[in-house]
Amino acid sequence: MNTSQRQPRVELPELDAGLTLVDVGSDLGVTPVQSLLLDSIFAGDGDAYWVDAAGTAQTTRLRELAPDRRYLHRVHVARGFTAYQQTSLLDRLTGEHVTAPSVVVATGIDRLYRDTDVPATHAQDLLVRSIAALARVGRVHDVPVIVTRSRADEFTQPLVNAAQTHLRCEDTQFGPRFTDATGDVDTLVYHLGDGWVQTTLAYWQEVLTHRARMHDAPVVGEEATSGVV
Amino acid sequence: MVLTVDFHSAGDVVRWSLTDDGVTRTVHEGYTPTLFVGDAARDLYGRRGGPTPTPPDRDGLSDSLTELQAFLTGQDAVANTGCESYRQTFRTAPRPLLRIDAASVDAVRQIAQRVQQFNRPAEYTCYNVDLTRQFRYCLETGTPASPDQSVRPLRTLSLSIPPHKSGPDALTHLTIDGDAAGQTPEAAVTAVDRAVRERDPDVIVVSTADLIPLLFDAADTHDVSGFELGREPGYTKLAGESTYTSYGQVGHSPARYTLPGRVVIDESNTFFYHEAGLPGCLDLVNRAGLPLEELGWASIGRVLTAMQIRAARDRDVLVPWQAWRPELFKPAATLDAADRGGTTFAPAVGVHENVHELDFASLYPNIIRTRNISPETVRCGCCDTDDVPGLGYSICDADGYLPTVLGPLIDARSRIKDQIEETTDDAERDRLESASAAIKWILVSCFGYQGFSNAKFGRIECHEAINAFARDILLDAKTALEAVGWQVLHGIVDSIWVTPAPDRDQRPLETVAAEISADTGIALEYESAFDWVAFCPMRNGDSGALTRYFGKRRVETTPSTGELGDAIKTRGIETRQRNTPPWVSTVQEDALRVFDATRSPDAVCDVLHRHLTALRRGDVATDDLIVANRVSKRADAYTQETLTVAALRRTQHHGSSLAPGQTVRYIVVNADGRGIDRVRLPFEDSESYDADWYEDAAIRAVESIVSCVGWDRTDIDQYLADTTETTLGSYNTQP
Repeated sequence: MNTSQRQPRVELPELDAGLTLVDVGSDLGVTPVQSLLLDSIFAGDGDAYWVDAAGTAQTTRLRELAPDRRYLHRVHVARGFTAYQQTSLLDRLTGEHVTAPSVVVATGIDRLYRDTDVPATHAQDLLVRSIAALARVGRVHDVPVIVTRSRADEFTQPLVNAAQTHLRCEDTQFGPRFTDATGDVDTLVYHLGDGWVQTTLAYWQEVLTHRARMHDAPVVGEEATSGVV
Repeated sequence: MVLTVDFHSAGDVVRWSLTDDGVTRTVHEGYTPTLFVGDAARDLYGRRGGPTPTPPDRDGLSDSLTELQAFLTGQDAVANTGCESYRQTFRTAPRPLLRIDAASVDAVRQIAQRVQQFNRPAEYTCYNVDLTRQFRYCLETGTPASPDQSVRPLRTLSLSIPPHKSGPDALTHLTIDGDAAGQTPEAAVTAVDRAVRERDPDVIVVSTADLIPLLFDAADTHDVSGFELGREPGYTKLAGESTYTSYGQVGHSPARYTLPGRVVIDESNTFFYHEAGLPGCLDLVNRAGLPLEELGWASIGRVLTAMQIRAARDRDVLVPWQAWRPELFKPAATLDAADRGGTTFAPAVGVHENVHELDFASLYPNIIRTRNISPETVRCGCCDTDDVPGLGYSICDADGYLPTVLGPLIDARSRIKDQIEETTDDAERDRLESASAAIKWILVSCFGYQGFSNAKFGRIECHEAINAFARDILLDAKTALEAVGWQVLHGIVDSIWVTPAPDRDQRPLETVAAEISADTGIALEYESAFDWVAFCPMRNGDSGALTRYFGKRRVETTPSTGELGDAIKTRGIETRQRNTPPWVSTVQEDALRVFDATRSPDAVCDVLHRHLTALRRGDVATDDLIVANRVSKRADAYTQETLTVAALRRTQHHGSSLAPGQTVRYIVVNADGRGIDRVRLPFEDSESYDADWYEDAAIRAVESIVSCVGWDRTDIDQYLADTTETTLGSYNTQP
């Protein structure tokens, strides 16, 4: 381990077991959520389960973010392409095939229920059912469940009501900042001190490398990373 | 065997079949279509879900289903209910389900919606709900879906109006089998009435289905007594017009109408009739078991689904209404490997001499067939094997159902191809080519359809497995070719282009292709030899565009004028794109001809210069300058004022409108102008055009050609500026 290097303070919000709704500023994309997901597996022994309904489960970014490619074997992904498939998947999270996760992520939970092939009243019922299924996941496995939505509106209000924690991730001039409506959480992820901030891939890569080291989780050296295809 | 089936609101069904001199009409009283309801999706796919669902055992109906049965019993829409065992998926055993016989075809969906609203959400799964009515009837009653053409051939009648005409006045432009019907709406209606009586057609082909209400209304207005288009009075509107989105493309489906006792084919709403003609459609009716009228408006996916439904039924599997089945969890590392799509070897930009193209025959369908890929075989859960290259998915030892659907189509197509080679009868050849075209579309789409979220029996893991095999096969072929002296210039999905590697001996291509075919179990066919092939760079880049190339086939002679025929193969360049105005295509084809003869960008630019001179003189017919663009949304939904938008607004200005999915045609008269005056519509007989705009389009088309020898727009502009007279080279189009 390289101990001579100065270790800047790098923080990500500590997540409690149960539902955490994360509203991410549109310019940040899914990266902050993927970062929270990876951070949870650095700290825990279990794997991450990710149900995506927003078409965001593309692995390119996740691969680039992960400090070691082996983490990709600890992230289990399933994508819902219809409202009904998503409903099945959320049920499956408490089934026998999902064992001891360290974190569960559901992205764009409302998106497919907005599709025109689902009747409006039925859609609301299904969404509420899905929120209940996710809350159950948190209870059964006693783990954090990170949820995102495609739009903050009346339709997704039940999600706000059900979430124990409601975080917003916004890009600020000092870097991405997670804030909580209650004021309990205010995490500026990484302040470089000299006013120079970037929220690009390289930034998040650095954040996650630091976080992995903090938890003594494996990190591949620069050389090895570039050698991976 | 039926020609068509009519459904009366009282629930009776009328079947029409061919006889020597006409048709027979058979009434089927009290037909009650059937749907099924099973327990909650979570029993199959949720908590208990995995590769092999394990729903809890039970004998009769569950409490929840019994409750539902009590709720439905006695409702008008419901004729009868009961308990019957069927398989809900390919991987589960038969289970007792609630069987519901509906009072009529229209009642089926109504019942399903009530089921959906009863009890908690996601409490029930419904089956056999959204089948089209004629298909359902044939399926449930075991009626063969095709007319018996051994009795007599089908009689058709074609009614047509020009696309930009609508309303009663359009009838004055009506043609019957190509002949003008009459000068007035009344005369036209009378002529149609006479033609229908005299001919007694089995199939009425209309240029737009709107003609049907239009003709009936006009007959009313003008008191044409006893006017009928069908074999019984009246007509039925089956569906209103609608707009939909599929694969990101906006489509438009016009209203659908049917006539008693006859098949209606709407030319503005048919894929297979356009692609394969009536003989091809009838051939497919036979194979898919989808009756002719429904096949007429069906998409490729619907026909494939019909075949899948029949295969599922053979195995006692019901047709799910909603797509509940999700993919299985997989490590992100696997998804990363699976998400890569088809393999391509980036083409070497430039002109290459002595090139050979080899193609795997029906690669994707053959992968499905030879590798046993099917929704119930991939990641089956019962076999612990690593079968799919790079992904590690198992494939079940038990025969999948999808290969049994595609196998006969693959065999039929290759048999038909052989027959086409052998036959000397032109009519027979036409019929065979129609049949081959119809099957081809099913085969080319079966892979993509596996990844379509709402496909009845689709599964994304099949899609990934097929891709993984395709990548592996193409890479192995490349290695094998390179090992015996061939240099691979380009490869994409199922095609490989090779040239002899310098300073090496080559094993003959036929030999190595046969070896690769034997190794992969899929025929690698020798497609064509080219004197030369040019791979174009991507626009704004130096690397090769994967799908933009052109090449001169060996042996074929290039026609000196007109279309290029088979002599020069082109892909991805302007002349292949359907929105390219004919004149721009002509410029590009002439440029290709000269490029073939001279390989000189100077000579190609001389051709361009000659065409531009004619354009500037005003010598180009406006018919050759028509731009045809597919409409993707309604005129007021566009945020940018493109030429297409201007044309749409102009169409509205003329009192007709085009829906998304339809094609708008226009001539650019002043691209830099404002509003609807930037364009003219073809029927406005405009004499003028915007020469600057068309010049730019022509230069871009020529740039596509000369880019493969390193020229870009600046070089062309410079050459044109320097050119005062065309060189002799441009007239010398023959080598």
